[in-house]
Amino acid sequence: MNRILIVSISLLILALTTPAAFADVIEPGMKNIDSYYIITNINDYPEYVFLAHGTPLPDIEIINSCKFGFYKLSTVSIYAIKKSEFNEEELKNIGDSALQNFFNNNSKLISSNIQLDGSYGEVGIDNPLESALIELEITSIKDTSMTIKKSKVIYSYSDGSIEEKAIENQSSLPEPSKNSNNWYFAIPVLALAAIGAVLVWKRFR
Amino acid sequence: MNHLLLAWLITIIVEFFIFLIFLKKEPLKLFLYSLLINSLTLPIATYGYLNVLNNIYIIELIVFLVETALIMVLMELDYKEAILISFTANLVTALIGFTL
Repeated sequence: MNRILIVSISLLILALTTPAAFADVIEPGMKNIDSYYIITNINDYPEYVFLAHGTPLPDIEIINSCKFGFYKLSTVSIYAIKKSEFNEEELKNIGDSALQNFFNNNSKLISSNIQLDGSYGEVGIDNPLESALIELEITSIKDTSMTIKKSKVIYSYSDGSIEEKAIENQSSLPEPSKNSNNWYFAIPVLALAAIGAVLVWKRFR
Repeated sequence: MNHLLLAWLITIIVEFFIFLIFLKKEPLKLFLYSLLINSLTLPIATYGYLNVLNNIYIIELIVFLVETALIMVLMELDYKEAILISFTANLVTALIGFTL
């Protein structure tokens, strides 16, 4: 008995002191879900060039009307700059420090209110969710600031189906409806009912 | 879903044989108990690990405690026997799980 208690306590201590996850490693039994983005009304602003700059990636990426995505651990900011002020060729050959300077100390660059993540997150490997496409909408561009809101998320599933959900709260996405959770609860509920029946039978036999 | 089903079947069979080794009686009844116990604990433990608490050691500890209680009431054993059987069963299935 004492030995079992010692082993149990040791397991508990081990559990509490073991880190649950390492940054770039997907936990066993989990899969990463990529996030993609699209700016739906980008063509309404033809006088601007839209840029993505993130940590650790991308250094710089020009955004067009196509969907785009980032490295899963990236956090990315969106900027706009007037086409007349933007020289793509010049930026292609720029060094790291000059690029940082371009984004940090550039009065011509218009920062947005939004930061985007490269990954939607991790889900169980048996979850049918495959990707999340988030639709962004530019609501205003002023001389020094740009406002972008998340308007819709489109979830894609492994069976080829998609699901669209409007985004009401800018700080969190609506949950995808399809998951494999029903099995996780249907079987235990049936088992619990059967255990109850066995115990009743034992009592009254 | 296939992963859960496979893990569920393996666990039911392995724990049934462990119950049989310890108790040496009524194999059909022991199989039913293994089926019921693991049908209750394994799906909830898997869901809990994937969605609630991403720590296999704590999940295993909770499963061990719940199964001990179920073994006690279903097989009408005292707590020492139940702890020993539950600990052995969960240790073996956890080792198989880690290996696969």
